[in-house]
Amino acid sequence: MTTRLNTSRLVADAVRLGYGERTVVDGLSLHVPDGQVTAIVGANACGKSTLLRGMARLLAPASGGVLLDGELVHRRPTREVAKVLGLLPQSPVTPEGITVADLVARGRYPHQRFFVRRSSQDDEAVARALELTGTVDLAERCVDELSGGQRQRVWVAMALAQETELLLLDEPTSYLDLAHQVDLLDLLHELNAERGTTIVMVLHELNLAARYADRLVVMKDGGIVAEGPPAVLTEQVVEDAFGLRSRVVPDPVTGTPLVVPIGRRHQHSHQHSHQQAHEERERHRMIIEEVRVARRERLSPSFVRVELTGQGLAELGVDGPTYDQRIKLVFPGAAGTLPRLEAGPPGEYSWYSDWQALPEAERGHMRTYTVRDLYGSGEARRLVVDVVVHPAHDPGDVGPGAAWAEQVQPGDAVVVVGPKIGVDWGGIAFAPGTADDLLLVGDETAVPAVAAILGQLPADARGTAYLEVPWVEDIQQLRAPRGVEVVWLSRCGEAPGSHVVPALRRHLGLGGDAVVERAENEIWDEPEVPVAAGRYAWIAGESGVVRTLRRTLVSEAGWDKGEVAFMGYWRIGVAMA
Amino acid sequence: MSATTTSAEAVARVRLVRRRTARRGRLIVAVLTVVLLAAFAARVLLGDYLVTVPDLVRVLSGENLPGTSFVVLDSKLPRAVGAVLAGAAFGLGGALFQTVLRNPLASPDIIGIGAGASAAAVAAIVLFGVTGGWLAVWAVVGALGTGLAILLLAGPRSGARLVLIGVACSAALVSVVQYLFTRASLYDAQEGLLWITGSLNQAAWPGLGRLAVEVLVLVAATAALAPRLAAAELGADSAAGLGVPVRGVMPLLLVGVLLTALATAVTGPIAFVGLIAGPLSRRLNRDRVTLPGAALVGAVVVEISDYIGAYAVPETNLPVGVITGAVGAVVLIWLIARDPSRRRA
Repeated sequence: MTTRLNTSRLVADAVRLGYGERTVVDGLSLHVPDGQVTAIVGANACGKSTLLRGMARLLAPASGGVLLDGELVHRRPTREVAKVLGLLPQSPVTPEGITVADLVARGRYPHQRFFVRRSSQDDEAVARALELTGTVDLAERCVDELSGGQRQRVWVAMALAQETELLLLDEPTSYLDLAHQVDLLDLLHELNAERGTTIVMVLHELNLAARYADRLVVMKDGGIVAEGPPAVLTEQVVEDAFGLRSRVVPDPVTGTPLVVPIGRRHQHSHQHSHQQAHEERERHRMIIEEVRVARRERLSPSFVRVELTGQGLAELGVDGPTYDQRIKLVFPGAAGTLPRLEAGPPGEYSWYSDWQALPEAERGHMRTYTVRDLYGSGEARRLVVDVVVHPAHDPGDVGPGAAWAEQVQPGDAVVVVGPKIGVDWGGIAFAPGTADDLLLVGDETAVPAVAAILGQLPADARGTAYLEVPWVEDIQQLRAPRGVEVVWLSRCGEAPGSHVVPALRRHLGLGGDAVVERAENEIWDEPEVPVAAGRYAWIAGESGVVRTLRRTLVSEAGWDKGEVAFMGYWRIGVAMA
Repeated sequence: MSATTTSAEAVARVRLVRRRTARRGRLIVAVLTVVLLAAFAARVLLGDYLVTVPDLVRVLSGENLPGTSFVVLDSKLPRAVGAVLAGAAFGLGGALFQTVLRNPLASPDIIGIGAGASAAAVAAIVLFGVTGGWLAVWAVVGALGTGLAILLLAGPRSGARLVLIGVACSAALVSVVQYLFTRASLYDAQEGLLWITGSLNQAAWPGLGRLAVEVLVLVAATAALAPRLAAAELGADSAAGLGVPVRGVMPLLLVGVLLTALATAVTGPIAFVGLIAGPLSRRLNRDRVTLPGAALVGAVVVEISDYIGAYAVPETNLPVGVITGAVGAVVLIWLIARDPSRRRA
């Protein structure tokens, strides 16, 4: 589901559609993204087929208009439109006794001229359509004799023989069993992928729609309830559009939303659905849990320590040397409430886009933190996070993370998003491999990560850590292997990087105070620093500082890019998620 | 599914199937033409007054054979030609309606277009004393008026709706005819009888010449419009998707009304021909619609029926409509009785 810059050849612009006096679709606007599969879903009589009929010029709008390539589709010569826009209606009529090849050939009508009924071009187009739909072997069969699935394929072939760049289908899977539904939708997907055909289809089956569409349009009472990637299909949207309570879980096959209706009969079992949801999450590789703040402690002017507790943490998996293990915290926004999020297999189902789709006030704020510590078990399990309370350059610029840490109280709720025990969740940024000479450099935002890394390093590790903090009081006692020297630098109100950059230069044996002060010709000199076997540097902090440190290490000291990892955590004045 | 280029094999297969369909269509036309020629020859040569082929050739080449010339030129030939023209017109008109409206009952004779012609003609005779050529004009106006009124009332979308409205109109028009007969003089009633059961008795050259031209023009129009019919057969929505909107098939219905009206003006309403020609020709063409086939079947049916009507009962010359009515009813029952087993198998 990549976001592309979309153009739309087919546009419904505030269309009002109806039959006689009865208005079915009222003032609806829709841009059909080119080259994508759009599925229109909704309850019976919500106007989805009417909308499709309007777009296919079968129904003239009472007001507004349907535009094809910028022109009103009802004004264009209908046969010209038929060369660009194909339609498979809900219940096409199969003429008696017609063979498959002859039926499919009827799709060539818009391309035929008077008295030139059969050309070799037409035969080729028909053969192409039969091949695409896998119906070549049926060519001489009578359409009446075919099974429902075969017949529907033949009808799709007829629409394909029209060779249009846009194809509208009105409930193409009705009357088909599940296997044939999937078969047909696979076929349409292939068509979209191979020919780039823009497809708009009205579908009844929500879960298949979510699976096969790039874009979902959920309709109710002639208007659009939700529109966007399949992730727009939430429990709320299902309830709004169908008046049906449901659970929306990630499709175990594709990760797209899977709507599981509840219904009146199963009200009671819904009581247990928390348990079911829990089991559902079991199968996935991450946790999304609401937990409570157990303790808040101001460590120093720049650091606030927050300890979280809750049953949900039991499965949070940061055991073993994961070094800089990140988790995400979601805390309440303007609405004061926490969003409900669902876990799913990473990379397939995007809880993140679910979260993004929420209204800003409701979704709260999300920030990434390093796990400073995780201890205890069961009820008493604690997750420790050090929040950097950035020195505000302007009091109004205090980031939401810092603001939360400043005022959070024990008992407050927060959502933790993180990996499960024993799961390699990626994102492990500290990967020294076999290196035996470590260099850790960063500013105050790097302190929690460096502290966590140092605490997990093997006892025989060797190296140096340079940590620049705003104030002397921010210096912490860190647990570190004996062979690693921790150097604290306090900048006392000076600009970030003003102390750590020179310190690194000294460490590397480079002269001068900063890169920019070096003479031109010196830059061309190959630095004579001997390449130590197995060295590894880990640089983190404000992005401007990280950039300078990177130049120093790579351009000047000649470190190989594979020997250095860079983490840009924030920019001055802008807190980054 | 992975094939991105069309294989020559698939193209060849498509071409083969489509050629086979076209060839079968041509074969049926050829066979029916032969049958029609045979019926035509029988009608002209056989019967109470036998005509030999040499005599026929001599008469046609302008020679005047006493007796024979009169029988051939003023009776047998005009009747045979009239049967071909009227039969073809009724058959084609019926098939057009049935195909466009996708309903086998939606033929012009069932939905009252023939009754419209009858009512107008009988009204003209009884109320206004119209005779001769003007009667045909009244008949055409009556048929056209009825056809357009039904189309307007029903809309061309639904065949079933149109059939119901047409049957109602037909019943109303028949009752008008019957009412008019109660008020008619004996002479007028005799004159008006033609307009109730179609007959070729009054077939005469000037009228037949006009009808020949009219039928030729309408057949040409049908040929030009036939591709639309192929689209319309797929249902209104599919047809509109292919660029044939509902109003695009209206000309086909208009041609059907005209064919029926103009033929009725010459022969009166010949019962059931429009209804049965289409289904019979389809049965011959493996259930596929064939417009030329329907026209030829119509012509054959009227030709043979007229022969039977003229000679089946000695001393009596039954109007052709009586025979088509009797035979047609049987054929219709036969078609419907064996239809369900074939249709949704």
